[in-house]
Amino acid sequence: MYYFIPKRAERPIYSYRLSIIHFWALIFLYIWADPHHLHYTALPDCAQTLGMTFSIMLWMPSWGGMINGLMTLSGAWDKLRTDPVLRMLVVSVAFYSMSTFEGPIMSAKVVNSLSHYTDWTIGHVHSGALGWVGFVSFGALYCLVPWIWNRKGLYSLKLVNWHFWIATLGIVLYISAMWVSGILQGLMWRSYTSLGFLEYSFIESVEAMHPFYIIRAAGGALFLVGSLIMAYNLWMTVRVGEAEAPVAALQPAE
Amino acid sequence: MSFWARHQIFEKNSIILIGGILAVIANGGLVEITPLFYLKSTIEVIDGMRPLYAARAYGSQHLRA
Repeated sequence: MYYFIPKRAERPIYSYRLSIIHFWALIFLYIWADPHHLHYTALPDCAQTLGMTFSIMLWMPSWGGMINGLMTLSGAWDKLRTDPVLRMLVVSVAFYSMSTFEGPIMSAKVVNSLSHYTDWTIGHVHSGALGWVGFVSFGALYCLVPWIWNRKGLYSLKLVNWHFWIATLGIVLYISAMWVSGILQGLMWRSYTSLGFLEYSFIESVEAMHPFYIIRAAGGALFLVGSLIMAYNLWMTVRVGEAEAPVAALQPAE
Repeated sequence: MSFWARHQIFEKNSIILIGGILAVIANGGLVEITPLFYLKSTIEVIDGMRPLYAARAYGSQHLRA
């Protein structure tokens, strides 16, 4: 984000100081946050509470970083209309903000007692993995390949546009299916009958997941199709792309 | 040298950066992991119950079967 967004937008990073704070605050806080994976386990309560507290503190550096990325676009927002690669990078930042907003909420013990061990966690991880890391990597590849093979530009921006929309649709299907199925699972597992028995057996909750797993698979398939389009586009960029005109040697000043 | 200019030491020297990262990361781990080794409450003592290490618990289960 700190390299490719400024490069692609042709704007300097919004705040260098904020990036330094982002970096150190993130790595300092993140280690403390790890016990949020171990709520209601044998881990002592003090560590669990610390983990929850620091997860919530993580809101600040991660949103600071997100704002730094987005503010870099100021004065260049019009480029989103014409440059699908930049759009991909920016949407990646949007997914970063979304999943880092969701994370601290899920780390709160009250929420975690519902969300833990369910598909909600899977959805959370994939909004980060596919949306944030995936999109920023695609954007980086779309920048890098023409640079490395010395090409004027990509083989087809239209295909990038297709990749962008297909992959975005895929992620949205994927994570919304996981939200619904995760909350459904959590509610089914914790519901009691009036006599105090568990209302559902585990296999009933698995059965209830069926439609969501179909949606999830469809979303994942769309994401995969998007990256195949990218592979083709990059391959063609290297094979048939127009070579960049050599930069005319500057005359040394006399 | 201003505070922000001093940060260039980290940016220009990756070994110092790694040292800084390790020092910063170590805090949380030390505070949260170290007490697990000496806090009495970490392993509750119950009369008549003998806690087993993971490997022993696994082994004794298989011996019984």
